[in-house]
Amino acid sequence: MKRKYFILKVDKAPTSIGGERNVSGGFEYEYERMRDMKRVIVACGSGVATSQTVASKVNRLLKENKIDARVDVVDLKSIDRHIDSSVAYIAITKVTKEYPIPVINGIAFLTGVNQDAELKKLIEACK
Amino acid sequence: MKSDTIISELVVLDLEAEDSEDFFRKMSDKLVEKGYVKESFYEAICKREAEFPTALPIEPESVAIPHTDPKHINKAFIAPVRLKKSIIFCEMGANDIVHDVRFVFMLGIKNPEEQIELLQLLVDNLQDEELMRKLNEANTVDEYMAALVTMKGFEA
Repeated sequence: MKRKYFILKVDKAPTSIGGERNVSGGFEYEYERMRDMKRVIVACGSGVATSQTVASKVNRLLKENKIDARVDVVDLKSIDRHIDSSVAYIAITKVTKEYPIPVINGIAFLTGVNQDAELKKLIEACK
Repeated sequence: MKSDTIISELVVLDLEAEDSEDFFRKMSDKLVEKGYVKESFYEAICKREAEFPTALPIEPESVAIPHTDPKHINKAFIAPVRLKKSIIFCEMGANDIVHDVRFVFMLGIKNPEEQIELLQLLVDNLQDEELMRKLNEANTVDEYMAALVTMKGFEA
């Protein structure tokens, strides 16, 4: 499945975060930033509608809350492979397993019902 | 968002269906006949709905948004259906919770990236009491379409 990265565009890189850092190349900076970024994964049954919609909404909400995280849509079948590198899993299908990271109810972001509570959980996981 | 994926020739009012499979049979026949989906659609949509159900627990009424892989779709569409009598759909993400559904929006998704905005707008609007009242009261396909194309965020 084609991965989709939501990259936060950086116009001006901060000159010193935790000491010296090479920020002369914007691309390099963005690469480093993406690599270090917290990652949130979203998965639905076919990956065609709901997960994309939820990912786009979550991405917007995280930005609004000034949370620096990457939201990736992944294939449900490959979810286990992505758990280790993620801080939260936004589920759109019934979850029948235990995961070592917080599982967030993705439908809440689609319908708005209980969205605030789920967003709070997600933001906590991204901190 | 353009409202032209909501297809007026696919609107069905007061469809009679026994259950979701019967519903999918009837709608698939129509979609195949009009050229929107491939023959493989019926089986694919039944299978996906059983595994990943699509009823949304929203107010004022639960609605279902069945959809399946783009490979079964010829051209993008939203087919808005009002059922004569509600049928049972299971809840998205909570397969053991059932909903009586009268309003179904079948989504024919061909290019997911282009249609991200669409699903969100649709779900937002379907929680609007005024819109749902109009959909409930519409007597003709034209009235039904007229209500749908005025949804917030859509343009003609």
